Amino acid sequence: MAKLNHNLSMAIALLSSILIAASMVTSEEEFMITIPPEPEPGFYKTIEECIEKMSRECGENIVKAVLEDEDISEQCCVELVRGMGKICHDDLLQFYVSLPQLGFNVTHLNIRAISVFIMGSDDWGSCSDNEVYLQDRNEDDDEEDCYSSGFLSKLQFRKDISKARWVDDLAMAEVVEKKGKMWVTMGIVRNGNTYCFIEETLFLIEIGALHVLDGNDIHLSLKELYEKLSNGKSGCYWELFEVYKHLKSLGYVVGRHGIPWSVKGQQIKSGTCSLEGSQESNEMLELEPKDENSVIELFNNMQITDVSPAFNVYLPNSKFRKSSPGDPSFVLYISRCSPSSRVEIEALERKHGAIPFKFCHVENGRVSFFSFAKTELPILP
Amino acid sequence: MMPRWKGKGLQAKANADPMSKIVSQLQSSLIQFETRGLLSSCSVLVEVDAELADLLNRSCFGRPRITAQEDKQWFQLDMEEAFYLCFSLKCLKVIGEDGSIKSNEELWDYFKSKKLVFPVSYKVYSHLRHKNWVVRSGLQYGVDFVAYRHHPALVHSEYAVLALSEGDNDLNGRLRVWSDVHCTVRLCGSVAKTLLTVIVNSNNQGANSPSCLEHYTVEERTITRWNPERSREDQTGPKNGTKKV
Repeated sequence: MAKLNHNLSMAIALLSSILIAASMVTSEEEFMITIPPEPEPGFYKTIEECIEKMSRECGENIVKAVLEDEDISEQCCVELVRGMGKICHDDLLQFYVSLPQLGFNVTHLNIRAISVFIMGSDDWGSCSDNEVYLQDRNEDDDEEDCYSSGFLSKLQFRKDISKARWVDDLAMAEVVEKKGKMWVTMGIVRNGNTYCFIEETLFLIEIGALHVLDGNDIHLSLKELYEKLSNGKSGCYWELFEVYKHLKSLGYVVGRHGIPWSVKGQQIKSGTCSLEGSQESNEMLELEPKDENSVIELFNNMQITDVSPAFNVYLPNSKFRKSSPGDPSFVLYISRCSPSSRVEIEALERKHGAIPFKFCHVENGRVSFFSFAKTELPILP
Repeated sequence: MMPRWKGKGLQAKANADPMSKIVSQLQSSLIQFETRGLLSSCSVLVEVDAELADLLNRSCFGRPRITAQEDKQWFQLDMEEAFYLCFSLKCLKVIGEDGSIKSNEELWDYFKSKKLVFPVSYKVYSHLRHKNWVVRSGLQYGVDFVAYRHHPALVHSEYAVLALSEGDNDLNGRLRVWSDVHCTVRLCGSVAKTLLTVIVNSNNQGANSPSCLEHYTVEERTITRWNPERSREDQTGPKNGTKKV
């Protein structure tokens, strides 16, 4: 058994209680661990100080909330947000994840699964919505956050993992076994079957909630699925996936624009996933040009080449139903090169009418959203 | 973004003293005193008495120059301000270096020679001034103008304004690339202003004379950054006009 650094005994004790709660180890003695050198001097002292800020009882409460999808008690939310604070929370998670080897007496789980579940899902998010941050969180301090939050964001451990089979002809995954609540807002339904686009598939695999098999029932690795994304045949590309993941991780409901969520009595069509095959362009072509000016206008509308409507986005809503999703909160356009001109924006406004739309710019892994809203300053007295 | 008044009671004070009235008082005073401005490179200098100085200050035209001269005060007007007083309000005449009064066409040509985008920037300036907004230079914020609901002593400016053009007079190079959008929006946000683009379309009228201006059309757009972390509460559907998204 590795010698535990005394300074970290509390942190390790919390970790072992997590694992015991999850029935992953039967007792503390079985739990062996190697502690890596400090990433920077004083880090472990900070960790120990962080642990002291939370009662053991609340530490376990939060873990249980993560595992069993229960609510975190108000008292423990306060301890987490006010007592421990975001910085401690993130440091602690960073520490747990850095542990290179968690040896224990369980065979069917691997280290990755443990680290996934340890990072928890909404413990921070669900607490802090109701609490005020101790320090004024400056949105501009994103630089560090993008390493911590991208790394730690919302990975969910599922004891039961859903299964799907990749269908090359469709470039989609057909869901074979559903576990968990996320299927309410993910996948499209055709004739009673659920199918996932590549971005949904990748998202679920990355968070450890889905296993994908190929046509021969052989497990498809994450690498193979990244390759499918990159080959361009699934109607998606890396930046679209980044946007999808960013919004999904925050709880939004995101669907491809122009694709109905649910269609009864209709088999899935093989062109469904290609970007060009979306309904919108078909609708535009059906418009009858009345005179030359509107033909030109029609032509101009079709020439919006720099942006394409990517997603319909709905606010996080537990009442979302695929059978009647309603209008999206907004339509999201991904801009690839340069910001759209006023002319292009006006064309989009005509197209979408009352439904707002936003532009998303993705660069260097950073996802930013902008609204270009028409306005009219009032005439003042 | 709601107007941020600088103190209690200042909104009431502003309401009791509408900018349109101050400006029209300025206009009639300038006419009454047959005020002449002196053209000096990109500025117009005016010498005024105390009453006019007060009106210029309250209506936010020009910057006072501190001089030892006691009975009169000097003000320095920007090109847009000067042209607004001359051409739109018709209450000021400008003298050139040869001592003669410049016509509006001559002033227009002169200002255009100093600032290529003058037609666009003037259209935006006058468009907002006509709506009784106070418009000042936005240079220190990296934009063309800042717009206030009333005197800057009473209220913070809500809008950082970029005067953009489209069509044949497309000289403004702003917001052509995403990094500029990020930069400008971030800067505006850090000074608590909304980025307002006022897009001028010359409708192929050219810019030969100031009379072209009335054929220009103007569209206002705000560019705001949306933060998905913040707006996740379930709000009513898109038809609700007060939705924060």
